[in-house]
Amino acid sequence: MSVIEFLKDLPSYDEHNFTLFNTDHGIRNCSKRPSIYLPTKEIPSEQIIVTEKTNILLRYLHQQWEKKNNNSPKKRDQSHIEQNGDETRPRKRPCLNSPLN
Amino acid sequence: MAYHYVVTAQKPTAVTACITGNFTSPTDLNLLVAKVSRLEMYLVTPEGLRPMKEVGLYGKVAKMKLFRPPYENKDLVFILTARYNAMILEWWSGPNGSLEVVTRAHGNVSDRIGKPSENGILAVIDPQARVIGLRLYDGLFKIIPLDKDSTELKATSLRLEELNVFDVEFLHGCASPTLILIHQDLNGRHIKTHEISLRDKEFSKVPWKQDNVETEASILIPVPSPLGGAIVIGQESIVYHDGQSYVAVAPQQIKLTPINCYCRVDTRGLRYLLGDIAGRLFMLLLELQEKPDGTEAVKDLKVELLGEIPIPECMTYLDNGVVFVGSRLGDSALVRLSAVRDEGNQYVQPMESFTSLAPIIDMCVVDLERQGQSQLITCSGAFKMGSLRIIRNGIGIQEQASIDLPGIKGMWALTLTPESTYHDTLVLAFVGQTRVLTLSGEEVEETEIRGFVSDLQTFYTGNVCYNQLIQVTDEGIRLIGMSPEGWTLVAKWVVEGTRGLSVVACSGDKVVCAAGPRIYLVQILNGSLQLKSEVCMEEEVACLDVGPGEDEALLGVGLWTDISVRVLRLPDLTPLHTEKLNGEIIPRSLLICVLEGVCYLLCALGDGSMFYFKLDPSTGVLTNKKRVTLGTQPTVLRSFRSLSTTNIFACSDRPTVIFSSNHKLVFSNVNLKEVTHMCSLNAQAYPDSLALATDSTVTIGTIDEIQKLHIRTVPLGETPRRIAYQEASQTFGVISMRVDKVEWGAGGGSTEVCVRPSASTSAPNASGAQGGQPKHAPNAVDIEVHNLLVLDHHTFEVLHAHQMVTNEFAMSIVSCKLGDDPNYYYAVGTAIVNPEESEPKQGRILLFHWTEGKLTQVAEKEIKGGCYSLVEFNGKLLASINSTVRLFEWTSDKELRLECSHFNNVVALYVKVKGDFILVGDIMRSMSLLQYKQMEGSFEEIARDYSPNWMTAVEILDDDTFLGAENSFNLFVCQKDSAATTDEERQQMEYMGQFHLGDMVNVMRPGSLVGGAHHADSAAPIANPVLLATVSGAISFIILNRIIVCGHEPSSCLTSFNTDVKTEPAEGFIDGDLIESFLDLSRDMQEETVQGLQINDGGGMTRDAKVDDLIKIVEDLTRIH
Repeated sequence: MSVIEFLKDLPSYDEHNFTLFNTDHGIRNCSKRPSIYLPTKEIPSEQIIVTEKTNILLRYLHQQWEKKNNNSPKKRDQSHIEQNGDETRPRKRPCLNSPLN
Repeated sequence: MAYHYVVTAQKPTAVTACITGNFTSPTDLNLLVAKVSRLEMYLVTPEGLRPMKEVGLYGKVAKMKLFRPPYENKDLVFILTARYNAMILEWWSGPNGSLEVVTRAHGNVSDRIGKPSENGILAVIDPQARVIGLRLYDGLFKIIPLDKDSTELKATSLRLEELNVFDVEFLHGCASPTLILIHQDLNGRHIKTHEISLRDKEFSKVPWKQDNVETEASILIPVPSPLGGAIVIGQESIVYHDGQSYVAVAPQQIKLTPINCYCRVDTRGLRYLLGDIAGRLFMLLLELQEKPDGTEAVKDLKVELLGEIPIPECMTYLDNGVVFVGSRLGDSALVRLSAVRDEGNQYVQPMESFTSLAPIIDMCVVDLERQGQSQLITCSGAFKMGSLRIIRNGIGIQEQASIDLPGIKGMWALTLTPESTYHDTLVLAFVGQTRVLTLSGEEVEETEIRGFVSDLQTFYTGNVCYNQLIQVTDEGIRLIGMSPEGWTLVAKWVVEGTRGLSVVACSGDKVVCAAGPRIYLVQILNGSLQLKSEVCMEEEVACLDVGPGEDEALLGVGLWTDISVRVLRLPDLTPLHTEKLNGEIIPRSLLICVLEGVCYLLCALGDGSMFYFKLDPSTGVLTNKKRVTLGTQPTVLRSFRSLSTTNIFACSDRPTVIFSSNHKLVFSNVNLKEVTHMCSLNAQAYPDSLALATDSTVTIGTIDEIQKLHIRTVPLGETPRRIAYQEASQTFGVISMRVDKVEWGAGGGSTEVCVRPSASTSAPNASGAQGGQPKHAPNAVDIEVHNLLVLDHHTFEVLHAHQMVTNEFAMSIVSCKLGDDPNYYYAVGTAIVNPEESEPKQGRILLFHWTEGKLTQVAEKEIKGGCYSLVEFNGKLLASINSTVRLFEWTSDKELRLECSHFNNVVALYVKVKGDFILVGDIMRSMSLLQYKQMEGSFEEIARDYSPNWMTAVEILDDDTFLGAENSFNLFVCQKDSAATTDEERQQMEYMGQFHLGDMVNVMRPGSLVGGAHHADSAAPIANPVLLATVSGAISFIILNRIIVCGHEPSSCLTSFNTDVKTEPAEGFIDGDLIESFLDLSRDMQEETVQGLQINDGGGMTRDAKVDDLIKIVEDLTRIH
C-alpha cells in the first residue's frame, strides 16, 4: 500500500517537536500573534540590487560585435597591427555612449 | 486642513506564502508566514508553533523564497513585492532572545517598459544559490547573480523566446544554472530547459525539451539530486521527466479539481504533498528502480488522497509529520499526517487553526446587544470555508455555571483545604448577612465556616499568613485559625467608637481599614492581631487600597467631601501626596496595581468615570492623570489574574477589563450587561475562572484570552456574498452561493448533486427553485446555486433557505421599509447569467417578508440587467442595474413601479445614499453624485470625478465629502465644491486626499467598533467613522481628524497613490499604523522623535511638545478603534 509507504518514517529534524502538542480539547485555535518588530536601528544593507539599464537589443549587438571581433580577426587588420606594432588598439571602437541609450 | 486618519483595526489574515527553514539560528527550525504585507516568524517547539516576531513591509509580498548560500550556516529569505521591490532578509538573534531583521540586499527590479505577465510574477532561486531568476514581463527573464563580494547585485534581463510562461524552476545538479519552464504557444503547452551562462549573461543552450505536454500543465516540481529532472503537474496527469526518459500517470482522483500547490516532504525528493482548489490533500510518491549501472531511476508515480484540508494557497512541511497549510479563503491550519486513518477515513488530522477573515466580501455593523457597542458581521471565506464572522471589540465570558442569588454586595474565593492550590469556597456578602458556598466538583452547596459570623455583612475575607483566614465586618476584624477541631476564631480586633468599619484593604499580613475618617493598620500575626498605627484624615474615607510591597507599602485613599486621592506610606501612615479630583462625584473604588512593571493607581467615581495615574513607588507621587468614562453607575475595581498576567475588572453597568499591552492601558468591553461584583476563582472544576455577580445571579465563567478584537465563526460551508440586518424580524438575510456538481444520467439527462452539506442544503425550511437543468451551459460540470438564507440574529441558525432559479445569481440584498407599508422586507436583486452574453440582460428584484417563521415572496419585478446594488431611499427602493441607476416606488397594489432612472455609467456597481444625494461608484469611471429632485421625480448629476478609477467600494463621509477605493489598492477622498463660481467647477469633484492602502477594499460601512469608553478629555474626537474590509481579511478604520499636531508626517513613497498610469504622493491621509507605532518605542527614542515638534496648547499658542503630550494624543487615537 503506497500510503503506508508514503507515511512511514516521515522526516524528523528534532524528534521532540510537536510531541507535547495538546489536542485533548479538540482543534486548538491560535490567537496569539507574534510581537511586532519595530526597527529602530539603521543597519545599512551590504548590497544594493541594481537593474542594468542597457537596452537588451543594444547589449546583444555589443556582444555580437565583440564576439565577431575576438573570434575572426581579419587578415588585413592583423597585418596592419603587425605593421604598426600596436596590438592592443583596434582601429574601430564600439560606440559605448550611444545616443539611443 | 482636515486629514483622514487611517488605521488598521485588524491586520490582513490571508496567508500568501509560507516556508520552513533555519532562519533565526543554525539550529532553530522556523516557519515563516507571509500575510500580504506582514511576515510572521514562528519557532517549531515540542508544544507547537511559538510566535516570535512579526515584521511589516511596505508592500505586498508577491514571492517569498528561501535559499542558503554555501558560505552561510542558516537560511536567508528573498522577497519580491508586487511593486517589484526585491530584498534579501536575514534574522539575527540577540543575546536575550531579541530578534533583529537585517536587510542584506535590496533594490527595485522593475523595468520602465515591458508588459507585466498575465500569469503573474514568478521567482526562482538556483538550488546552489548562484542566481535568482525572475519572470516579471513577457518575453524577458531577469537574473540576479548572487555575488558575495560585490556591493552591487546586478540584475540583467535576458530575452526569453517563450512568451506565455506558466511556471519556471531551476533544475538540481546542473553545472551551470539551468531553468525548466512550461510555456504555451499555438500548438499547446511544452516544457523546455535553458542553461544560463552567468559570465555572458545569456541563455547558452537548450539541454532538452519536451513538446506537447498536457494542455493544462501548470506546476513544475524540480527533483533534487541525484535523481534530478522535474515533475510536471497537469489537470489530469502527472509526469516525471529527467531529459532522457519520462514516466507519466493519470490518476483518477486528481481529475476533478486542479492542483494548485505542493510541498516537498523529504530532502531526497521522493515524497511530495499536493493540494487542490477543493481543499484536498494528496501524496505523490516516486517509486524507484535500480538500473543496470547501479544508479536509481524513477519507475512509477503513486498518487493517493490523504484527506481534507483548508483550501490551500501554500503548504510547507514542518517536522514529524506536521504540515502548515496556508489559505487565502479561510482559516489556515496546522495538520498532522498519520499512517492510521481516523473516524472520517482520513490520513490527515487538524491540529490547530489560524483565524482568517479573508476574503471579506460584505459586512454589516449592528448593535445586537443594545449596549452601544457595535459588532461587525462579515461574509468571510469562500466555498467550503465560507462563514459569517462576528467581530466584537471586547472580551467574552463563557458561562460555565450560574446560581440565582439576588442582592450580592461582595464576593471572595477561599481555600479551606490545607495545602490545596485550588479555591474550594465562595463567600458571598449581603446586606446584614454572609453566606458561604462550598464548591465540590461542579456542585455548589451552602455551608458554614466555624468562627465566621453570618449575621453581618462581610466587607472582606481571604486567606492570610500562617494559614489563617480573616473576616472583616463593620464590627472589626476576626482572625480564624486551624485548630485540631477545625477552623476556629483565634483573635478579634474591634473598632473603637461609634463608627463601624466601612472600607478595608488587605495584603497577606496586614489589614488597612477605615471607620469614618480614621484609618487603622492592623498587623496579622500567628494567632493574634495587632494595631500598628492609626491616623485621622480630614474627611471621611470613601475607598482605599494597599499597594504591593512589604512593611513600607503605599496606601491609596479616596476621600469624601474634598474629592481627593491621598497616597500614604505604611507603616506610619505618613502622607506623601494629595491629588484633587475636580468635581463633586465621590470616589467609590480605588486600586493600586502593577501591570507590566508599571505601578498604577486607579480611582473610580460614583458616576461611572475613572481617573488613573502612574504611581511612583518610591515617592508616592501621582503623575500622568487621565480620565475615562467606563459606565454610568458607581464602579467597583477588582484585580484578577488570567494566564499569569494581572488585569483589572471594572464592575459597573458597562463592565470593562483593563489590561496592559506594550506598556499601555487598554480598555476592553465585556459581553455582559451588568456586573456588580467579581472575584477570581480557581477551583478544581472551574480552573482559571471568574465569579461574577449581577443583581440577581452569580455566574462562574472563563474569560477569553485578553486581547482587543474577538472573532466568532459561524461556518456556512458555502460562499456568503451579501448580508443585511433586519431588526424588526430579528434576522439576518444572507445571500450565499454553493457549487453543485452535475451528474449525467444514462439517458442523457442530468441532475445536480450537492457536493457536501452546507447552510442552504441543511436549512430546516426551503423554498424557491429546486434542482433543474442548466439551460445555457449544457456542458458545465459545476453549477453555481444561489440562495437567500434567513438567520436568527442571536443563534445564527439558518431558519430558511430560498433558492434562486437556475442561472440566476443573487447580487444584492437590503432590508427596507417601503412607502406606507408597515412591514419590513428583504429586497434581493439578481441577474440571469447567460455565458454567451458579455453582461447580464435580465434580472429580477424580489421582495420577501419574514414573519412568524415563514418566508413569503411578496413581489417580483423583472429588470433588464443585473442588479448590482440595492438601497432604501426615501421609502423607495434604489437599484443600480447594469449602467443605470433606477428608483422604484412601492405602490398601494404592492407592486414595484419604476419612477425614474439615470443613465451615465459604464456599470454602476455601488450606490450609497444620504438625504436626497446618491453616490454612485462606477466600474471604471470613478464616482459621481446624483441628486433626487422630489418635485420633478428625476435625478440630476451634480458632480463627478473625471479620473478613470476602477472602483471597488464607495462611501459618503459627509454632505460634501466622498471616499472611494479602487483596484490598484488606493483610497481617495473627493469633495464637491458647491460654492464654486462656474457650473463647470461645480460639476467636478475635487481631490482632498489620496493614500495607497495596499489592499483591495471590498466594502465600506459607516460605523466603528468602539462604543462606551470614551475619554472625557480625548484628543481624538470621532467624526464620520468608516470601517473598510478587504480581500485579505484586514479591517481598517478611517476618521476625519481636524486636530493635528504640527510637525511633519514622514513622507513616504510607499504610501503614495499608485496606479498603472500614475504615481502621486499621498496627501490628506495620516498613516495611523505609523503614528501608533510611536507608543512601542523606547522612552529615549520617543524623546528623539518629539524633538522639534510643536503643539498648540489650546490657547492658540504653540510650544514645544513633550513626550507625554504626544503619548496622550497617540493613546487617545489608539482607543478610537
